[in-house]
Amino acid sequence: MDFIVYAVTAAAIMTVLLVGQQLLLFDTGIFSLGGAAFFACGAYLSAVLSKNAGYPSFAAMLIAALAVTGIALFVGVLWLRTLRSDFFALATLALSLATVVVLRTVGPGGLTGMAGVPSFGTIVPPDVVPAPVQTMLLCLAVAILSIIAVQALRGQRIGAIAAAVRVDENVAATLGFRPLLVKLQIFLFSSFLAALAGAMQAHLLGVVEPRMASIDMIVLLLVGTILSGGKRAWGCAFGAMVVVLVPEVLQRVFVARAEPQWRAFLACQAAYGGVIIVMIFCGPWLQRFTGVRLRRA
Amino acid sequence: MFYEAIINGLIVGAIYAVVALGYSLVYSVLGFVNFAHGDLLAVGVYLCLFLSTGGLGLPLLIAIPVAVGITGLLAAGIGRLLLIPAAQKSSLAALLVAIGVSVILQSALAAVFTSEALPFHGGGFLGTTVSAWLPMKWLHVATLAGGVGSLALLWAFFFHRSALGLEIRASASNPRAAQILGLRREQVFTVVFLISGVFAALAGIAVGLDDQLIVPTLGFSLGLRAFVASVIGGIRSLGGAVAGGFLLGITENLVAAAVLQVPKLAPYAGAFSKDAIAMVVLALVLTWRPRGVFDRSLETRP
Amino acid sequence: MLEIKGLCKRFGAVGAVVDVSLELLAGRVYGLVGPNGSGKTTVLNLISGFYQPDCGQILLRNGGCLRRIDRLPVAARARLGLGRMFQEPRGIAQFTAMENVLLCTLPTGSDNLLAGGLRPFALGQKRDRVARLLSSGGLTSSANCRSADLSYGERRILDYLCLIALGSHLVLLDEPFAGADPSTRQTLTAMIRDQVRRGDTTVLLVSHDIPAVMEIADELILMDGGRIIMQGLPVTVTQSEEYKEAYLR
Repeated sequence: MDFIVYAVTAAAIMTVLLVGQQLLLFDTGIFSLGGAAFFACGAYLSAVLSKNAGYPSFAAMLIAALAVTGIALFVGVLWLRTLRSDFFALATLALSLATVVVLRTVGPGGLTGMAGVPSFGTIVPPDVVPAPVQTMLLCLAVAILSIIAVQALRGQRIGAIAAAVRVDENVAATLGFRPLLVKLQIFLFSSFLAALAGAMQAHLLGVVEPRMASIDMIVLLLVGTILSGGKRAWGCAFGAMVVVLVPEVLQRVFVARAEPQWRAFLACQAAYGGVIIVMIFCGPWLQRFTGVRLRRA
Repeated sequence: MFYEAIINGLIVGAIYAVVALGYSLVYSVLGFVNFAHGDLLAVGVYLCLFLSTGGLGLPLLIAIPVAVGITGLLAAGIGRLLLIPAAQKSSLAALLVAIGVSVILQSALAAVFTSEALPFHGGGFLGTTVSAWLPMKWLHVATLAGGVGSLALLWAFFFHRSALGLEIRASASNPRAAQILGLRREQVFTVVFLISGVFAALAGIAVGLDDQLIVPTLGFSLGLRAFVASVIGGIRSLGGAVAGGFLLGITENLVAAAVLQVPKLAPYAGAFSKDAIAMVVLALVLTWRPRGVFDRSLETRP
Repeated sequence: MLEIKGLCKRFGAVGAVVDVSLELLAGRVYGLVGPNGSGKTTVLNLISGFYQPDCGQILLRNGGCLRRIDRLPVAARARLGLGRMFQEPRGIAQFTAMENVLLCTLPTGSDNLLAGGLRPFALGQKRDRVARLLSSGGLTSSANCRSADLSYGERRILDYLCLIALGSHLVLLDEPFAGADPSTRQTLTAMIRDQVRRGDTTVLLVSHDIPAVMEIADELILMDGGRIIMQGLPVTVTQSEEYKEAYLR
C-alpha cells in the first residue's frame, strides 16, 4: 500500500515534468535536453529555501520554480534566437551536464547531495488522512491541473501559432508571428513545470543530489517524453508511470534473484535505451496508440 | 611547466582529433551527432583488455588490432542496422537512437565487466620515458605518432586518392548532391562508421594504456570532450574537427597548469576538471560561434 | 508604397544585388523579370527581411508615411503590411484550408500569451470572412481538408488567400504561376486583379512566365547581373534591345 502511494506520487510529479517537455518537443518543435537542469535547480533551490532558510515547503517550491524560470529566460534568450535545433539541443545538454558539475563542486552537500529536506507538510491533521496520502493527493492535483492547462493551451491561438512555428519558422514570420517570442514563452512554461516538478521531488524524497541533472535523468526524460506521444497530455501520465515503475520493478526482480542493486540500475538504463530505439522504429504502429510522430513534417 | 603542458596537450589533442573526426564525419554525411561514438571508445579498450591481460592473455601486439577490428565492425553494424535507417527518418530520430545505443553500450560494458575501474597495463617498454628534455613516455610518442600518422594517411590516400574516399568527401560537403549523383550511399555511410569506430577504438586503447585504469564511462566522458573539440573547429568541417581536437587538448592542459599556479583556486580544482572545462567551452562556442572556427558555409537561404 | 534606395547585397565575392533603386506606387502590379541569377529572388528576400542589405534603404508606406524597414525583422514587416508568397506552397500542412486562413486573420499580439494569445483558436466572429475568402478562391468544398491533401494549384491559391486575409498592402509573389495549371493561373490572376483594384494594394511579382506577367502587370522591371536594366510598360520592355540581350546571353 505504501508503495502504491509512493509510486502514484512520483508518477504525478513526473507527469508535471513531462507535460512541459511534450509541449516543447512535439508542439513547438524545440528539442531541448535542458529539462534535467531545471529539474535539479528547482529541487536544490527549494531544498535550500525550506531547509536552510526556513520557508514553508509550498512557498519554497513556488519561489524555486519561478526563480529557475528566470534562469530559463536567460538561457532561452541567449540560445533560441541563434541556434539551429540540433545545436540548441547540444547547448542545453551542455547546460545540464555543467549543472551537474556546478552542483558537485559548489552545491550544498557537494558530491553526495543534501538530505533532510522537509516534506510537504499537511493541510489536514495526519491522523485523519496520513501525510503520504495527502502528499499524493496534492501532487495528483498539480499533475491534473497541468494536464488540463496544456490541453487547453493547444486549443488557443498560441497553440496554433506554435504549431505554425514548428512546421516552418520562416512562413510563420511572414504571417506576422515572432518565432523567438513564441518559442521563448513555451520554453519558459516548460521550464517552470520542470523546476516545479524538481522541487516537488525534493520534498517527496527528502534528498537532493547532483545526479538529478545528469545524463541518466536526461535519458529518463527522453523516454518519458517519447512514450507520452505527441498529441494528448494524458499520454504523459502513461509515460510517467512507465518511467517510475520500470526501475522499481527491475530493482525488485534483481533483489529477488540476489543480484546487487547496481545491476538493476544498469538494466534499467539499458531498458530505457532499448525503449527509445524501439519507439523510434515502431513509430507508425505506435502512432495510433499514443500519437507519436518523430518524422519531420 | 607550460612546456610540459603543451606537450601533453599535443598528445591529448591527437586523441581528441582522431575522435572528433569521427563525430564530424558522421555529422557531415548523415546530419546528426553520433552519441554512441564515444562509447565505442570504451568498447574498444575493454575488448583489448579482455583479449590481453584481463582474459585471453594474448600479447598486446595481437590484442590491439583484433580489438580495433572488432570495434570497427561493431560500429559499422550499428550504423548500418540502426543509425542509417533512423537518419533516413529524420536527424532527430537518429540522434535519439544514438543516445539509446550509447546508453545500452555503457550499461552492457558495466554489466559484463564491472562498473568499477579496471587496471590496464601496457607492458614495460611503452611505459618508459624517452628522455629528460622530452618528458613523454614512449606510449605518448606512439600515440602522437599514431594519431597524426593515421590522420595523414587517411587524408592523403583515402580522401584524395581512392574513389571511395572522394565519395565520402563529396557526401560530407553536400549530402543531397551526392545522393542525386547516385554515389554509393549505403557503402559510403557504412565505411564512415567503420572508420570512426576504428579510430575510436585506437583512441580508447591509447587512453587506457596511459591512465592504466579504465571505467565504462570513459567513452562517454572522452567522447563528450572530443565532441566539443569538433564543435570548436566546426562540426561540418573535417579538417576543423581535427584542428579543434589539438586546440582543445592544448587549452585544457594550459588551463589546468595555470590553475595549479594560483593557490586561491586550489579548492575549486575539481570544478576545473576536464569535463567541466569542456562543458563550459561547449556552451561558449555554441553561444558565440556555433558554426565553429573553421566552418566556411555561407548564410542559408529561407 | 515602397521605395528602395541604393540597395546592395553580396554573398562572398558575388554581388547578387548591386545598387538597386526602385519606387513602387500604390494600386499597381509590377513584374520583376530577368534571367536566372539576375538577383530577383534576392531582392524579394531583402524586402521581406530574410536577408540584411549590405547598403541602402528600404522604405514602406504604412498609414500615411514612409517607414524605414530594412532593420526590422520579418515578422515586424509582415505586421506593417508586407506579404510574401514563396516559390513553393508553404501553407501549414497539418492545418486544414480553413485553419490556414484563420491563422492569417489573427490580430497582432496573438503570439504573445499576455496580449491575445490565450484566446481560443476558433472561427467565432470570423466565420463569414473566412468563408467568403475560401469561396473567392474556389476552396469552399475543400475547406476542411488538410492543406497537405490539396492539389498543388489549390495550395497556391490557399497561400494567396492567406495573404489577402493578412491584409497586406505590399504583396511579394515569388513565381506564383510556376507549376500551376491554366485554371489555377486564371484564378490567381483574377484574385490579384481584384485585390489591387479594391484597395491601395501593390503587387510585385517575380516570374519567368512572361505571357502571364504581361497579362497582369502594369509595369515591368528588368534585372540582370544584380542591377535594374530597365523599367517601363510591359510592351516597351519586352520589345527593347536590353531585354533581348539579357535573356539571350
